[in-house]
Amino acid sequence: MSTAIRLLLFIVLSAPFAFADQPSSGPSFNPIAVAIFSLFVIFTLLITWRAAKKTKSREAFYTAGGGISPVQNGFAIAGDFMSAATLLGITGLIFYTGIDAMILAFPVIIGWTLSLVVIAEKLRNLGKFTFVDVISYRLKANSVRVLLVLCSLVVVLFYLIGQMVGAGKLIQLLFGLDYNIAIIVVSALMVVYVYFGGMIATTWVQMIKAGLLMLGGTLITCLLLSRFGFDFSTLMVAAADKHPAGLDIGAPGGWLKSNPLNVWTVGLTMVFGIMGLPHVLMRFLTVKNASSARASVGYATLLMSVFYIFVLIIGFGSIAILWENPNYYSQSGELIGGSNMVALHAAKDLGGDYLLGFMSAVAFATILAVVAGLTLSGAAAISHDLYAGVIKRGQANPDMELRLSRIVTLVFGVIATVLGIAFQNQNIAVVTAIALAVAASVNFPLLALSIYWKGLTSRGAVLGGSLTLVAALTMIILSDAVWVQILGNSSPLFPYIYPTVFSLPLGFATMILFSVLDRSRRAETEREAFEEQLIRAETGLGASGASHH
Amino acid sequence: MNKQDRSAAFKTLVRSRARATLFCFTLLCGTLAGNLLLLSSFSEIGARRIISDTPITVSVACAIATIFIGAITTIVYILWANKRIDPLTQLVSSELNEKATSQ
Repeated sequence: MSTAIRLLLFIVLSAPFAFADQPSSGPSFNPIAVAIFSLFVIFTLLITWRAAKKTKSREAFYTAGGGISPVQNGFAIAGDFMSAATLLGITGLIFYTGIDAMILAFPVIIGWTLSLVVIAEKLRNLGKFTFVDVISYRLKANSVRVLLVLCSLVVVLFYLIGQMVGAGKLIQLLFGLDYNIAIIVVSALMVVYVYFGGMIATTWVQMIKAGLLMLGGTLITCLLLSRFGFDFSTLMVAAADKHPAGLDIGAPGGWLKSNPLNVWTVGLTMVFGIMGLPHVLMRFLTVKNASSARASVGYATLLMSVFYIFVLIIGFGSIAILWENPNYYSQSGELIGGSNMVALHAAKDLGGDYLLGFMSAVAFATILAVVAGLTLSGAAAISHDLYAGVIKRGQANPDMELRLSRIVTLVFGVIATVLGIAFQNQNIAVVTAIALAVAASVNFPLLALSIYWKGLTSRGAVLGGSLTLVAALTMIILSDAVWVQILGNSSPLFPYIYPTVFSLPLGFATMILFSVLDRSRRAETEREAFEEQLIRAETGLGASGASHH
Repeated sequence: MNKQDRSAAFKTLVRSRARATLFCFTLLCGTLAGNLLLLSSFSEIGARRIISDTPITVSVACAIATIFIGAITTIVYILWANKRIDPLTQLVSSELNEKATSQ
């Protein structure tokens, strides 16, 4: 067993003693949570040790050699996508604002089903290691790869910041650990999983997390429903009896105030952002062929569908059992720990310290799984897309590329630590909004147009993509979350939550316009290459299959 | 291969997949749009109670129904693609491999 993993195991096994000085009363310290979390980490580190023996090639590092089964990949995709925000954030939002919060849930299922029918199989047939390979299949200009790497890094880094800050605050709340130490622990584990185990270890971490999340969600939901005779309408009436909004908790307007553009921009971001997330798209390439990619997205979608129903029930059911329950409210009348604690308080109320401990550990595992996937995706963007694709023009030495991937992983660990500490007081929703808005406005249109439209050219992709990226970032900076809350101005210049309702159509329009206006010889070559791409996209002929290791 | 060289099987494959994609895309986007309209421009309809004296409104029911529509569309598409698309893909791949070998 490598020295690094031995050292890390020592740290983890000593962790309970590290908490010895922490207060043992109140929600800050939970020995059951620490024990379950320690077991999770030990088990996943052992898996990483085994995976390290198989991760000797870049194929194994990036995509596990294409040898992940559809069921495994389905769980891993669900595990990669569902962050702590899914369980904790949405239930908390339902708790306070009612049905409006489901706008963060049902568009996700629409988005995943669209991913299945629109891009999953073609992406598997056209890609090799990343979604950049898909777009660059026909659009050979280096500038396209550079733009896509930039977009990938913007998405990955901002998503990572959001997860790191969320992890630090959650661990601080649940385990009583110092915020900075929590950030370092998360970064260290994330680096170990990816550096040694690559996609194989990351997949297993995500699979286990997804399984634990489904188990926890099932337990809480069943226990909650059992309190109301397994009758959903009884549960909803009990919630309405407690909530100040009464029967209107089921009516729209609680959060988004029925503002049409806010509603549409959030909905569109959730649907199309999914189809532009680099770390999620990368998972489509870990299976052996398009049929397996189809099946794995299918499994993931079904898992997430069940889970979002759980979230709905837990959200409304928590109102019924927690609202103004003195066990979970401070003396000042605030919910202890804030809205992110709703699901965990519900776990405590339903299953005592054991269920609370289990769900706390699951929440932490959830974050670990997502950050591991993000780190791997970021490493692939630098080493494969930028170094091998642009700098070495596709002629990189595979061993050198693998070595660079590992070095970049270490660098990402340091960056994640620094940014997690630097952004600790910032609004997590803002940084996540940047990631999803860029994914929806730039990555998704580029992917869709490159697969389906013969007319897309490198120039159209670069000019349209760059313009849209700048526009999306500008609108976010001018929005309330940055212009007012961070920069201290009195009112926002851009009055909506996300820019997507404007930037998504802008992305399509500019990419199409600049492509149509492109009369260069390269453009003609790229249009002629569409037929050959179509054959590959439809049949998979020539696509890299699973490698044996 | 040029567009005019496409075999009958390849054209069938492309057409079948395109039709299924378009149908599902329309269904899913229509479902999404309906829900978003209920939350925004037609919130008074969204606020109507399905079961009286409960907070189970049209919006609640539609949110749940949307998740089910997504799940059912997923299952139906996969079953259809396994039965229709995979054999066609095999056939087209064989044709193209034979063509490549003979050349």
